[in-house]
Amino acid sequence: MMCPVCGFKFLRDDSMNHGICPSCGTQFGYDDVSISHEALRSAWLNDGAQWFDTSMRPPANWDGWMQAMEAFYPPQITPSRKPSRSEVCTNFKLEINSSVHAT
Amino acid sequence: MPKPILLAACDKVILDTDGLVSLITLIEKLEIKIPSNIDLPVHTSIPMRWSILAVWSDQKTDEGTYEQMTEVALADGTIAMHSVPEVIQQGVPSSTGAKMISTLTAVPVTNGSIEVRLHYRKVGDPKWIQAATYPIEIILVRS
Repeated sequence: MMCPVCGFKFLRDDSMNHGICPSCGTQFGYDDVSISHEALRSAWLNDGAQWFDTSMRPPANWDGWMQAMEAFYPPQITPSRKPSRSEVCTNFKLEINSSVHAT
Repeated sequence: MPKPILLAACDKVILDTDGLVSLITLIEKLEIKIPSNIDLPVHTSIPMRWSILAVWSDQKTDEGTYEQMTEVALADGTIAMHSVPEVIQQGVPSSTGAKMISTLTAVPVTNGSIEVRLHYRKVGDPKWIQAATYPIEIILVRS
């Protein structure tokens, strides 16, 4: 499952029961009792988004900032101006071959 | 000399086995919402998978002689990201032109416009020549 604080995707399924996220170090059921996940996330990001668990290595090319941004603040493609439509007319005569319709 | 006939940034470029290309969602404007209590590092980016399609006119004599490179520039001229040089050549025989697809994995976090720039040069030449640009507006919302 994904950590609701930092976006780490490989959290153990039972982590919400006092487990600790190895990425941001949040202990669920303790750290998040009086502080919202959003506030914990902001604090972790502002503190440099460092890997927490020193007993295990982060995934290859792990980047805490990118992980959280991808999970919680993905860019949205939004419309700009509506396109205008036009019909292009042919300058050639459209001739229907009558033999085709003879049958 | 290669001549660009199309440069576009989009969500996805679908390439079928015959070489037919489809563009999904042209990117004109991107909105990035980041809470104001999060400090933004200077020159940071956000993960997002998107594509750039460049189509060059088909000139058989140029086949393999030129290479292209795309870069994404901020409004102040800072180059936020760039692709590796790639030789301009037709991927599929009898297609209409050389179609080059670049995939990007992030967008720069900025408030304002960014520009996708398409460059080419003769293979081995140190100097790049700008061939086309494509603007994208980025709206950074801090709430």
